[in-house]
Amino acid sequence: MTQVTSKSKTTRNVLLTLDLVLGALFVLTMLVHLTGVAAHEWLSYVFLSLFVVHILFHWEWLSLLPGRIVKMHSGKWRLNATLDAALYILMCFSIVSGLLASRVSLPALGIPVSEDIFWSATHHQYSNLLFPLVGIHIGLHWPWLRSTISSLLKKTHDITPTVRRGES
Amino acid sequence: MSGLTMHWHRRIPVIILITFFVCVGFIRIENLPIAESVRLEATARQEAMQEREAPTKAAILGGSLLKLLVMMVLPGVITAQVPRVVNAISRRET
Repeated sequence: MTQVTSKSKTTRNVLLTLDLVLGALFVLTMLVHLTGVAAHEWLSYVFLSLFVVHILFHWEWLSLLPGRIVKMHSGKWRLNATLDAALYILMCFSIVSGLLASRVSLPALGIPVSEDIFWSATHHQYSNLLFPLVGIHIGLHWPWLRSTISSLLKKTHDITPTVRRGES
Repeated sequence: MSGLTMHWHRRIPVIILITFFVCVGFIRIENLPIAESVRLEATARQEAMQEREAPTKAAILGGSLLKLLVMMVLPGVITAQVPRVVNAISRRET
């Protein structure tokens, strides 16, 4: 029993760490005027790999997504599911248009990219739409985020011997 | 079951397939008539920006933080607070 609790706690901690790193990376990547185009592009690859891991971790939730949108669930569930679907599609569009508009990373890797202004304009527009969607996504998951952080902080203050045995 | 204990090898092909079709569909917009108007608009905007003075570092920092605050933090805070406000109102009504 203690081992199960410990395992779920470890899972929760991994998810929390991943989400926090992903959030920080998103902010850093999106501040392109501050970091510069080169850093923006290289950071995007790190963000992309973590984004894939984030999706894999929440696969169970995502597999239930179409049903949640169609079936009569509560308004919050529907909003959450629709927003997540929109976020995923927009993220795909943003990443693809970003790759097609790449000026530093892909040429550095020896991959030729056509300098079409259409893709940089599209990338800019889609990326701007990502800001409010990510904000609302975090806002919707805020209760989980807050409770996980507070329980983690509590745990560091009072680690009981039982928990220690379960973790080892 | 937690996400960590599920079979990874089953998920990856599904994600790749969905993403592939989404992206292939998206790339096709390059050939649509609307793409030409986007190109013209973007070129005009770029020319206008080149004529303008380059902003200072402080202006860039301020602008970026303001953008982050208004476009991401504010919608997030509003979303997180809406259920609380609704609950508080309904509690007061009862």
